[in-house]
Amino acid sequence: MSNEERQTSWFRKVEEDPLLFNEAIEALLGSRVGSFVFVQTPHFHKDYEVNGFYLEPETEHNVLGRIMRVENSITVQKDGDYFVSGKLEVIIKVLRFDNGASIESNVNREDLDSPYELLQFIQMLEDNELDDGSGGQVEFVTEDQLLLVRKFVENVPLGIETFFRDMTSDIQTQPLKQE
Amino acid sequence: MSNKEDQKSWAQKVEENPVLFTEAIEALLISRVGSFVFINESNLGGDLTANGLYYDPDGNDGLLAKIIKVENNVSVSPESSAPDNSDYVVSGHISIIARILRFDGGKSLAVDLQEGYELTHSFSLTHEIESLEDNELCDVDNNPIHFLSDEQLLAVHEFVKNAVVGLGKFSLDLG
Repeated sequence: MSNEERQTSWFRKVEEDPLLFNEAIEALLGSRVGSFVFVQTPHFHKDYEVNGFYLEPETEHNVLGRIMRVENSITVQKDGDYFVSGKLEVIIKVLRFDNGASIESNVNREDLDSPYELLQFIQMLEDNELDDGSGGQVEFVTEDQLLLVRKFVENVPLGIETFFRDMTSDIQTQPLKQE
Repeated sequence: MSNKEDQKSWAQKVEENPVLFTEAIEALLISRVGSFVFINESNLGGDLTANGLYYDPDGNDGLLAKIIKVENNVSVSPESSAPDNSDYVVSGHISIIARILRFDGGKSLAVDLQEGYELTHSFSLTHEIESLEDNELCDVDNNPIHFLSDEQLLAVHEFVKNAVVGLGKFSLDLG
């Protein structure tokens, strides 16, 4: 379906029931709450430290976050043409395991003022493709990636013990070769 | 003291007692065993993932490692046939092996920081000794290897302590 066809299709629905549009967006946004995402680290500027954050193994520059809530203040009105106004926000929390204060961040704040922009945003959500508003990509975490995270969490308690032991134990040195 | 003078000073000591030189290096190397360093990850190839490794928070892509072994195969002997009769023949290599500390339970990785750093003349040996004395090492690719300060080591301890609690919260957030 072309963009134009999609637009017409949506508009027809709005014409039948203007509330439907908002409900559809609401449902789409709502369905993303609880999803895990990898967000680009530059987004966090100075707050970001490597240790204690789960980094995407592929790039090492994206941190694991979870969508906490979405806020939708979009209104669609018809007065001959359709008018779209308002904004959509996706708020995530960056997950960290160093017991530091969690970081909530607005990764996607879209001010929409045309039906085309709204349609684009809906398309992005349907395709699980968000943008952090500064050009950075927000990637939804796949099942396989999530399994890796869980495995990591399982392994860390034992790993921490080893880590601590390695830090504190005396190391046996082999006698050095004498010339 | 210039490098040339320094070299001469070492040379005189060697002349008095050639074993002294090797012993001094040995003692210096041994004193570094057990030290913590931040090493540049570019040495490690693509074997490592970021999660489970402790990074230098100040950047520089440094990974936490501990020096577990040093190997000294250097020998120094006077070269009486040298034209100015003041040269010393240095041969052999120094290896510094570190283990990267990880907290994800994965297999630890031992790396030879210097890959058998070859010493072939007295200047490079003097330079190497100075580096060790100043806690300033370089790996084979000339990347700096930073010894951890006490404050940095405390920060790592703090991290380990907090991670135990933090992981519980992390798991909850994962659902």
